[in-house]
Amino acid sequence: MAKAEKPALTAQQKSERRAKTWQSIKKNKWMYLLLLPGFLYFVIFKIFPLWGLLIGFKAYYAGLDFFNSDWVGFQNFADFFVGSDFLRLLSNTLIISFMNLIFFFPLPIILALLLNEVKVQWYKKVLQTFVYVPHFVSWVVIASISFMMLKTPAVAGNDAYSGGAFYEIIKALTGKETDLLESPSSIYWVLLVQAIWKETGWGTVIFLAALAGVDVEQYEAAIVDGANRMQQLIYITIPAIAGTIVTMFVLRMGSVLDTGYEQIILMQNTLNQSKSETFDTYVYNYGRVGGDYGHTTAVGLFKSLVSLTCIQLANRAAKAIGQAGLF
Amino acid sequence: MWKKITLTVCAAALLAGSLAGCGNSADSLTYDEQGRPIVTIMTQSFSAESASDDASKNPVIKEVEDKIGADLRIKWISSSNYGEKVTATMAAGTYPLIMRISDRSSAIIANCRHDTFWEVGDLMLDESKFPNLSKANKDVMHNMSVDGKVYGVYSARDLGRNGVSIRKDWLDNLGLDYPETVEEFKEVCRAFTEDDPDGNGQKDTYGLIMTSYTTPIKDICVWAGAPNGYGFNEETGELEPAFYFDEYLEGLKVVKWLYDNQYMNTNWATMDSNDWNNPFLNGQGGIIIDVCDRARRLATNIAPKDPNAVVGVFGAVAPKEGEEKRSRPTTGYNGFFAFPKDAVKTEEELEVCLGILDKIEAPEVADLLAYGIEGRQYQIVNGEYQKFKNDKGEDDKTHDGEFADLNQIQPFINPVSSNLKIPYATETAKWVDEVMADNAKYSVSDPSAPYISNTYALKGTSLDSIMSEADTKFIKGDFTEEQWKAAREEWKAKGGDDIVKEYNEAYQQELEAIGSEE
Repeated sequence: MAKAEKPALTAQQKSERRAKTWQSIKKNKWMYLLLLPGFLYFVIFKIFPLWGLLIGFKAYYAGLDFFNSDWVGFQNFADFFVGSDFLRLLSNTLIISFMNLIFFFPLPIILALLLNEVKVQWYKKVLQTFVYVPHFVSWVVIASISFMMLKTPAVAGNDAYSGGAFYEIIKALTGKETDLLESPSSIYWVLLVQAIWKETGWGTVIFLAALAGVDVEQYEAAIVDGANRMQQLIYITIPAIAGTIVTMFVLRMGSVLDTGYEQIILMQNTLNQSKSETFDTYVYNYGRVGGDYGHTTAVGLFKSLVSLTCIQLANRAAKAIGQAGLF
Repeated sequence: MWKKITLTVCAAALLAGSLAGCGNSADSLTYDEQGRPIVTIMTQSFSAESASDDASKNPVIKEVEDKIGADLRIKWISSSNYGEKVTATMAAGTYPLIMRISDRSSAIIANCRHDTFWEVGDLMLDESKFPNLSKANKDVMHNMSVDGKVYGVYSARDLGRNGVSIRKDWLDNLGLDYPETVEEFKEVCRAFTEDDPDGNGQKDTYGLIMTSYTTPIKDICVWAGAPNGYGFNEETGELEPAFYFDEYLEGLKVVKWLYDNQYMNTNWATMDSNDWNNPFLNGQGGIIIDVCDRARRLATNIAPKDPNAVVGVFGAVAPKEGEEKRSRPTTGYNGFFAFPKDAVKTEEELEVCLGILDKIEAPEVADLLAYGIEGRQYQIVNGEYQKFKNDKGEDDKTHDGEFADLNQIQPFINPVSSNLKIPYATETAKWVDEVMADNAKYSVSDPSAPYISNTYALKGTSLDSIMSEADTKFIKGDFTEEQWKAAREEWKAKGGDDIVKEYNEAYQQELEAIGSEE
């Protein structure tokens, strides 16, 4: 694609243009002032900290002087990829992320479709409020509740002690004593169920908004044509929100390496750490706790680059199948 | 007009708001109205509520401050996230005058190398200035040094703390003595299993109790003659890890022999170390290799279950008859007190801070920190320490909160740590102190302790797990000797060789440094 060449400007044209710009700024000065806080926010909190990425190329630890620490080039990256942690972190992160994508991602859509079918308005409103509530419960509370429900009895096999409710239910149903908190791989399912409980309701917001935008006339026409509820759903509703679904999917792909650390750190213990350590918790454990800022910045930068690639790929794929995509 | 002003003010407030919070600074040495230095100390707490540093509310701290002539401001941080808080403090530069540092992480080492903290090695040994701190153990100072320099006052732990708890009454029943050689140790384990030590006519006991915490294997290997951690190999002239030595394999074979003959619990690889005491207290197993103090707790806890039980303790064991006994020492310290240069600005101020720690080391101050004030928290009866009793006849702990965690500001370097005569609760408690003192004579130190390997910092954890997994599999019979040696080659290939090389470089550098000094 050839770029349209700009005609060269004379000095006079340039100064004229500058004066024009300045005039329009002056005219709309209150608008620009209104813009200022947002602009400053991005400069101070988003653009300015970018120079900190440089410590990913230094042997920099908490407490050192930035200018005093040694440049090490790509050593931090090399150490990370060659080190034995990398593959473990990658597989843990991908497992958690893809389990989320497969099992969690469709749920808000399904729930939104179900809510959309509720025709009694007050009942629908009440339901919506109820499913939003868990989103506002903090992870700390959810982790505590999980511990209460899943904990094993103090002395196994002794009927004088009992475990958490969920533990006892599993035991009664299967006769097996399952320790979901400590057996390494079960952490994935615990995390998934927690995420589903907390975020499914909140996730419906955007889909409900999309559903509200569907033209009612289409349904009316379909009814005249003799379409039943199921056919209306398949041929009108779902195509109408397909764009939103794809957009959400593209965004989700962009954060495929983002597992968040809060939820996992709270459920992590020495017995399941080998399975639950992800990039985010690793950065927390080695950076925030261990103080190895250089190394962990490199890890974070790597993660961001992968995210950027993922989101680009997903966006291209979305466009390839005929959806609008994100950008 | 008003609109303009309001807008300007709003914009200014916004800017100021976003810039606030950037300003922060380290503490600096100041003096209170009585002319006493105000010393801020950051250290870890274990109690839900640590002692208050407000002298008007807490008589213990008032007494301490009067004795040391300083106004203490203690910043208590819960031990569970102490490391994180140290990192945050270093990152923000909000240093106290004295900061306890609990581990030798790569960040701490980097900060030592970049002179974030004062080097105190020579100064603290000045007897005229610091009569108590100058009694510091040079080996421990060497262990905690970074590139041969000491960046703080270490918090001492007994070198001879590792030891074995054993059922002394079982030994007596069988007519046996504490084992002195590896062969005798094996014999005791056998006899505890096969010769009915509890005399109930049933074969329901066994010797060694082990859990998934595999450090006891290291003790047995040291007994068998292997180095502790790293050792100097005469043939290659290099420092090498313990498992390069044949004696290490001998030690593993001892454990394997115990395992094969069921003279130990066979479920050890999956047994949680929290359950370690249970078989001992239930009269099933008779030996736990851990720290000596475990014997003291075992003695207290076993008494209500089995009044006849006697918990004995021993430390060092010789590889063979006629050879010198060996014991695996601790590193001798657990964290250290550092003096950040951002807070402690001059050498004179450093001497003030060191002087405070030195005075805290005086036995009369140490007693205050550990036990409180006589007449308030305890009394002296017949010359011996005794707690007050409440109505129910229990120890009265009403005022114990006044000295809770206070000994976390004490380095414990002074060997004379108390003027009080504390009666031993059990006979075992007395033996524990004797064995700890005795162990120091036989301790096999780890020559690699002070050295830093960058490779180890990065890959150490996963490399360690290669060898501990191989050890476990060898003992359980899943690995032959050849397979175990193959795992050792894997360890070397995956980075072990680099670690050994880095340690040896550091070792050579130090030898040269010593050589040039002389």
